[in-house]
Amino acid sequence: MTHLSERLADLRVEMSETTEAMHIAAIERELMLPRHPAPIPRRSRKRLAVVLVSAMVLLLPAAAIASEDSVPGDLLYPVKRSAEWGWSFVDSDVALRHRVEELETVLVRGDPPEEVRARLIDAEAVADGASPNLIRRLEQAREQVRVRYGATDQGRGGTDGRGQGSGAEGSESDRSPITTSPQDASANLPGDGSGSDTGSQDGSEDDPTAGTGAGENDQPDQERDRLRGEG
Amino acid sequence: MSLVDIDDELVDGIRERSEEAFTTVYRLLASDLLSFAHGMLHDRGAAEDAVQQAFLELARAAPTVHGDGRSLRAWLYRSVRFSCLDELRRRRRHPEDPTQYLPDNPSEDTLVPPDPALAEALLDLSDRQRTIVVLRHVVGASVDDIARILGTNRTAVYAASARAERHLRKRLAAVESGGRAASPSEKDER
Repeated sequence: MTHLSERLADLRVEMSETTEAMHIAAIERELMLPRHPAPIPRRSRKRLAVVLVSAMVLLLPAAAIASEDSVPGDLLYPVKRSAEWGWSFVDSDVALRHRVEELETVLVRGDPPEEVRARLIDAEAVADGASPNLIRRLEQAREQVRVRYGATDQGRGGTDGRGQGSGAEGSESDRSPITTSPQDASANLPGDGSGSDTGSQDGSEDDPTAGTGAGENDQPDQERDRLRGEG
Repeated sequence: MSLVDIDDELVDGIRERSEEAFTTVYRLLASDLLSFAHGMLHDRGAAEDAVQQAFLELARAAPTVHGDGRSLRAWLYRSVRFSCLDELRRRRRHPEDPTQYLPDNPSEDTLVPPDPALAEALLDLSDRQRTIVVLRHVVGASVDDIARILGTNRTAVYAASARAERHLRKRLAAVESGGRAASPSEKDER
């Protein structure tokens, strides 16, 4: 048997001139084409896909958890609102719970009245069908708003046109500064000019704290008379 | 014996997509690359296609090629090797369709391997072992060159080379005696 190395060396072949000419012509044609960025190698593409998918799997829940305590204006707040949509399938109260927590947060922080009022309106907008506990928390927060700022905004608050309420809430609205003059309300809640843009002109039907439920019918006659006199 | 050197000027020319640099590099390396591909495939037409494909890929990726002449040379060998491995995989998947990889104008040279027993014994090696044997004994690459092409170190190449030659001798003896031993390609990774 011939030595293995010699037999292997005999496998060597030379490029023929014809093939060489064809190959060089093909290369020149390729070089004539406009440059385009080198494609990402297949292996790198796979790695990139794995990294991206892993990052999404890890980061999305992390971002959702990190955004739990965010309030409007925070960087992660849109993430919280997006995650809320998902959670709403397993917990129908999640939206109101978040809104109430946001309201409580801005109250504790002592945010400007218009900010607090906006949070209150947001909370009331999703209060339909919520659990009694949450409604109670909302009521407590609303009461805090009333105590601290002296009034809630009847104009904007009434835009949703929904009553949360009951007769008991209606009686609370009777005590609410909503029934004070518009001048008083604007003094208590600076920066708000929206009180008369919706709802009735006298503001008697738009109390967000009482809604349009039975409470609006309980307004004392003397208060109405006083408002008419001021108007 | 080692591979043909490519100087830095040529590498710069390749990066700038100079036709002259490409032609020079092609002429320097084409026969070595063809021998390598032919040793891997035992099919001259497919081997020529693999060489052409490597240079076309180089023309596309030229601006992103890094390093010196040895890196460029290793890049071309790797490209030819991947084309050969793709072709071999395709043949394994479609063994019933041998005409697919025949050249357009087959000659006697392309259809009949010069040493059929050796060709058969080589094809029974694993892809990695065949690469090392062909680069070392057909192309005449040094251990350093092979290590660079395969992205490994000298020690690994020495060890793999010794193992591959031992397997090849056994396979060759088995083929020539008409018998059939267990194929190492089933045991060894690429």
